[in-house]
Amino acid sequence: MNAPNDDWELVFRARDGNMAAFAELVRRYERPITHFCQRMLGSRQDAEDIAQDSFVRVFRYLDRLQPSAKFSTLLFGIARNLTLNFIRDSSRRGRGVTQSLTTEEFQEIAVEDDLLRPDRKARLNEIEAMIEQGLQLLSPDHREVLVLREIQGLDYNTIADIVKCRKGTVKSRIARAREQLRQHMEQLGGESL
Amino acid sequence: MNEHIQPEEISAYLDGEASNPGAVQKHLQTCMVCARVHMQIAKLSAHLGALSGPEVSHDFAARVLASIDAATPSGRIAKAWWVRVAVPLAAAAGVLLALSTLVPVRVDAPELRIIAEVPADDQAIKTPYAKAADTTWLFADDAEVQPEPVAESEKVLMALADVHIFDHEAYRLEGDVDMQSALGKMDESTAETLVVLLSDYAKEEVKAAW
Repeated sequence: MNAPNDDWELVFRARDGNMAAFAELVRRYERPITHFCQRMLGSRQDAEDIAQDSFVRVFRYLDRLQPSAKFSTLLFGIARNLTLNFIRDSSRRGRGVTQSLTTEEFQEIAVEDDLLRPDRKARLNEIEAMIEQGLQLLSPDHREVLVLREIQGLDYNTIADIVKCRKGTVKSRIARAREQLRQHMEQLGGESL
Repeated sequence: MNEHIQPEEISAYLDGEASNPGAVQKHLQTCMVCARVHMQIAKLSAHLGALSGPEVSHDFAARVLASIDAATPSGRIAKAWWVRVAVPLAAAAGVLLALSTLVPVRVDAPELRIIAEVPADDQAIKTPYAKAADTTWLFADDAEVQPEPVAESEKVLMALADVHIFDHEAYRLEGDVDMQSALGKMDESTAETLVVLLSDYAKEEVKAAW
């Protein structure tokens, strides 16, 4: 039998105790969910912790999940709630997650294409670092919609389902986030954008 | 059109979500100010889309499963029923097959070549593990060597092992085969032994795992 293409089929199998099916779900979404969390939190380690917790929550709720929406929408919704909780809790503890991205982490996630000319590669790394920094300066409301749109490639309706707001709100938040990020880039010398 | 388009509309146009994309496109062809905004947003979008994602730890999934395992009251993940049944069955069958090589006597094997879907409401095997209704069982008819004489249960175990029960998914046939009819194709004693065997394993495994 071929591997099931449908996420919900894997969910139903996992619900019946098939852990291989659940592991397949984790493998399918570990990278996009971790990527989303990292862009939201700025910290690679925190992102992976939250991403793992998201999958644990999904497993805990397996019996209650209903295929009324795409599974990925539910999963991103859970990850989104956990990242927002994390940001709120970090603020209460006085630890600003927006300051948590280290230079080393910037470098780790920088473009690694050795085929690029050194000066071109350095310029791209610089722009990427500025974008990273700019993302962390956005409010969580604006950051999440921009990440879901630009990095995850989701459409406005799906984003609205995940963040639980109207499509029009998504539209205006994305535009606002882009404008803020563009201004940030200009301030940092990224005028060549 | 003299008035500039709102940046929100340009942003939505870029995403294919503009309310009137034709009008936006037409305006961008004639208004340098809005065209520049559009170009900047497009470049920014390209950079955002090109951001490299994190390399997820190689043991990410394992850590997720370990967390789930730790949170499970019994301290272990409940495995699929067929794993709980098939593993001990095949292990036992392996031992028996190894022993059989010491007694190289050919006997008639059970005439089994059945692929069966297990319906959840199948009365013949209505045990707690029967909820995995999509599991397929396969039995063979060409066991080459078996000890003589052998118990019915051992015949069944050998037949199961001989056709690689672990690869059951690769043998799935189109359409459902009712387990009741599948059992009906076996000789009566073999079918009865199979049901008893699986029921016994299920009782032990269910007690241990649930």
